[in-house]
Amino acid sequence: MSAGPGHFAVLSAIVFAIGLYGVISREDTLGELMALVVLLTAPLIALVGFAQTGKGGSVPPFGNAFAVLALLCTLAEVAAASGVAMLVWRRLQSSQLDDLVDVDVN
Amino acid sequence: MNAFAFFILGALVVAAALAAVVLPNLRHAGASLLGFTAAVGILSVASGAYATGALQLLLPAIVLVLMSVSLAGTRIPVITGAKLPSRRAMVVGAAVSIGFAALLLTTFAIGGSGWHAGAGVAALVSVLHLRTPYAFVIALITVVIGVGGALMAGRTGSDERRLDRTLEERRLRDERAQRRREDRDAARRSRGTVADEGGG
Repeated sequence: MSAGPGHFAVLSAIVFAIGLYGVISREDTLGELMALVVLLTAPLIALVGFAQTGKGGSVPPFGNAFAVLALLCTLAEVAAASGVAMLVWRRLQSSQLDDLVDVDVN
Repeated sequence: MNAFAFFILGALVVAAALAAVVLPNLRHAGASLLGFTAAVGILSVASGAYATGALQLLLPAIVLVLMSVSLAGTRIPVITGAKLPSRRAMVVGAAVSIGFAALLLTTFAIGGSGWHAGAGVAALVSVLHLRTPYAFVIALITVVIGVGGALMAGRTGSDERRLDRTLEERRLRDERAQRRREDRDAARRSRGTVADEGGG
């Protein structure tokens, strides 16, 4: 027996749900970012799985190409967001998201 | 891909993802996140996507090393101060994520076999080079700007370090002055008490 696209779809859905849970429930900036990485990795699992185990055989691996592009964008987003998180800490001395509500931007 | 290997790797991926999301200690959660990305990379390699898997294994590690080297010596107290989410947030998060998982699984089930395109013979590098060059270049530029911006925003400049030192010295000086004042007051009080006793 071999793993098919359905297996990858289920795994991707489970990982997406775990990431979404983290994004909703975490209250600290870095924890939120980590949950976001988990959430954004879920589509990569589906893309790679579909491309490798799907039907056909003549289509170029666009799924893999999309996965690489999405991975690069995820990295950029997480890097920028962690820099902003450190800036926020230096300004507020807090890593809790609730404290951002009262930030004075001026 | 062998189903047995898929199930083992899938269990690893899910366990690492859960640990990264649930653990309150951010160092442990970060280590779990690294394990998660590594497990996903290994899963990609095992399913035959060698280049994608290698990138998934290497890129996060490279970015982590770059940021660690660049931010060495910088205080990162943002790691401290994490705490467990409130019970209400946990319940809402669990409900929403279970709902989304059910929605995704239903969509996949209804879609049947029509939602996947298939494996190919062309190499990933040739696809990125020939079919999606602009997207690839834009993604690379985005990564460079993102990482560069994060390093610029996150690192502490020499003037900020000097300011931190000055503030720390001022705090210590104030503490010493306060302690001296308290000692003087205590001595004065004790002298007054002794004088009263002598006079009485």
